[in-house]
Amino acid sequence: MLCMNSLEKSLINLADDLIKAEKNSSVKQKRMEALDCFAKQDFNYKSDNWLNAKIDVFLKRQYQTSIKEVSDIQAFSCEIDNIESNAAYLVNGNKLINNNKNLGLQLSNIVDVTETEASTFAAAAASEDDCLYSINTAAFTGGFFLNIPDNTVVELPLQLISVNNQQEDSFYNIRNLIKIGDNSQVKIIQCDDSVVDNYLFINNITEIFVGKNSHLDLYKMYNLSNSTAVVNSIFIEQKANSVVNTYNFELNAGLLRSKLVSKLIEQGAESYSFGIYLVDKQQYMSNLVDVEHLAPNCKSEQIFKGIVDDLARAVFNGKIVVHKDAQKTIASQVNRNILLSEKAKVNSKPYLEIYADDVKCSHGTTVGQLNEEALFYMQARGISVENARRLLLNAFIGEVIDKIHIEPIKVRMSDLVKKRLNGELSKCNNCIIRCSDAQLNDADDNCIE
Amino acid sequence: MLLQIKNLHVSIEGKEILKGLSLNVNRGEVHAIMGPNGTGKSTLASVIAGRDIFSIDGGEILYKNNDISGWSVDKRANEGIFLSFQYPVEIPGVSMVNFMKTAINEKRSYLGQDPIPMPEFMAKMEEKKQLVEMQAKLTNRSVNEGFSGGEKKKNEIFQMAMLEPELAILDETDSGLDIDALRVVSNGVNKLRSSNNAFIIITHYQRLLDYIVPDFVHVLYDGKIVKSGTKELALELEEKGYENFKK
Repeated sequence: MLCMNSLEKSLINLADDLIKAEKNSSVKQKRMEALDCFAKQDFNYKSDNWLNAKIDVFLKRQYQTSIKEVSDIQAFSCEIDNIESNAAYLVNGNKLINNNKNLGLQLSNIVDVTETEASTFAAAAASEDDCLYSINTAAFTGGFFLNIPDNTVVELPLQLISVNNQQEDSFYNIRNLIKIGDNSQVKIIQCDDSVVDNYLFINNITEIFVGKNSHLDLYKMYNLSNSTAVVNSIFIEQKANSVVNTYNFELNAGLLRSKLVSKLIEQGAESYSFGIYLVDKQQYMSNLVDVEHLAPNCKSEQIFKGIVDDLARAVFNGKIVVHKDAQKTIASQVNRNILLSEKAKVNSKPYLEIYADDVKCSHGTTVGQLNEEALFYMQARGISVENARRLLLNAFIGEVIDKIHIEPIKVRMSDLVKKRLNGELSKCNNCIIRCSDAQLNDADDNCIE
Repeated sequence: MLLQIKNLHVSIEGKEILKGLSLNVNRGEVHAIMGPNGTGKSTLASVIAGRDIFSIDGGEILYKNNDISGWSVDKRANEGIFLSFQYPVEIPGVSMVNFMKTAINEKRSYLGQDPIPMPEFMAKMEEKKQLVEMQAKLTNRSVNEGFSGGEKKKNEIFQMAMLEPELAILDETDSGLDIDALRVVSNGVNKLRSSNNAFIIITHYQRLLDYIVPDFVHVLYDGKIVKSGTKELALELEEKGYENFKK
C-alpha cells in the first residue's frame, strides 16, 4: 500500500489492538492473516464489483474507529410492530443487548465465542476477494453469533438489530456468524439503524451455515440516512434439502452494496432471493448476487426490482454458476427496473455460466419507464398524475412484497414502501454531497465533486 | 349547454386530424358519432378527455360554459367527463377496489367532500356490478388484467356507473362484443341515462343503436361532421355505406 490515508491507518491500528487482545487463538490467527492481506490490497480500487460506485466519497472521510462505551439506547425505528418476536441489539458495533431467556438457541456476541463454536468462522468470506472482507475479518469489533442446534424449530422470528447512536462519524466492522443444525427452522429479521444523522460506514459480513433439511427465512431491511454507507455481504452455505429465502428491502441509504453469495453444496438445496431497491437523489445501491450450484437437483430463484429517480444509480450484477456435477438444476434470475428521471441510471447484468448439460435455467432484465397508457387511463378516472404514479410504482414493487410469508412484515414493508414513494421517509435528509436543489434538478454527475 | 365544440382543429405530429369540427350536446341527449376508420372519431374522444399527445390548433371546447383547454385530464374527470376506452388498459398489481376507491375519493376530495366510508363503497360496488351483470369477484383482481374483451367493456360501464359522470363518451364500446355482452352493456347505459347527463356514442355500426337509441346521429368524415340527423340517419348509413358522404 503506497499512500495510506488516515482511515486505513486507523483501521490497521484498530486491527493491531484487537489482535493483541484476542483470546481465541484460531480467530486471532484469522485476524492476523486477514490483516496481512489487507495491507497488500488497494483500498481505493475500481473493480467490476464497484461498477461506478461512489464509494470513494465515503472512504475519503475521517471516521473514528475506536470502541466507545455505549450510552443508553433509544427506540429503534426498524423494529417491527405487531409482531411477536424476540429482539436483540448490537449497539455501536460492539455491545450486545440480549434480554431474551429460553430461546432454545445460543445467541451471543461473536467476540465471546469459543474455539469450537468459531470452527466455521471466516470459512465462507475469503479475505483475498475484497479489502472490505479482509479488514472486516481483521478488525471486527462485534456481531451476532447465533447457534441453532439440530431438530430445533424457533417459533418466533428473531430480530437482530444493529444500531448506532454515536455522535462522531464512525466506521464499523460488524461480523455475524449463524450456524443452523440439521432439521431446524428459524426466521431472522436483520436491520441496521441509526438514531443520529452523522456520517457512518457500516461494513457488515454475515456467514451462514445451514444444515440438512433446515429452513431459514432471512429478512434484511435498510432504512438509513443519506449520510450512511453500508456494505453488507452475506455468505450462505446450504446442505442437502435445506431451503433458504432471503428478502432484501433497500428503502434508503446514501450508498449501499448488498452482496449475497449462496453455495448449494449438497443435493436438493433450494435458495430463493427477493429484493427491492428504491433509489433517489444521489444515492447509489448495488445488488450483487452469486449463486453457486455445486450439487444435483438444487433450485434457485432471484427476483430483484428497483425504482431509480433523480441522479441516483443502481447496479444489479447477478451470477448463477451451474457446476459440472449439478445436473437437474433449476435456476432463474429476473431483474426489473423503472427509471423515473432522465439522469437516473441502472446497470444490470444477469449472467449464467453452465457446465452441466441437464439443467433448466433462465435469466432476464428490463429497464423502462412507467406505462403512459396506464397513467392516462387512471387520470381519465379522476386520479391525479402523482397518485397514479404511486399506484403504479406500488404495484411494481408489490410482486416482491407478496413473496413475504410473515403478515406483519408484509404490512410493514408495504407501508414503508408507500411512505418512501410518497417522499415521507427521507425528506429531511441531506444529499450525500449536499448538492443544492437547483443542481439536483438540473445537474450532471459532476456535482458529486 | 353541457358541451359546445366550436370549429375544432386538432393535429398530431404535424398531421391534421380534426379540421373544423363543431358539436353541441345538451343534458338529457344521446349523440351517436359514426364514420369510417381514420376519420378522427377516437381523436375527438381523446381530446375531450384531455389527452396531451394531440395539439389543438384552433377552435374551442366549452364544457359547462368553461373553456377546458387548460384543464388536466383528472380535473376533467372530476368535473364529470368520462371516457369509456376502446382498448381498456390492463394495470397489473393495482386492484379494482383500490383503483375505484382512489378514483371516487379523488372526486370527492375535488368536490370538497369526505372520503367514502368503506361499507358504503363496498355496497355501491355490489350494486353497480349487478347493473352490468359482472360475475367476477373484483376484490382481488387487478384492473382489467386477464379480463376477456367483453369483461373489459363491462368494466368500463361499471366504472362509469360508479363515477356517475355528466358527460360520458363511449369510444367503440361495441367493438369486440358478442351479442349477449352487447345487450348487457347497452342495458347498463340505458339505465344510467337521465335528464341530467349526456352521452356521446362513437361507433362504426348501426347495431349498437338498436339497443341505445340516440337522439342525434352525426357522420364524421375527414375531420368534420358532414351530416347530422336523427336515428334514421344511422339506418341510411347502414344501407348505403359512407360512400355518399365522401364529397
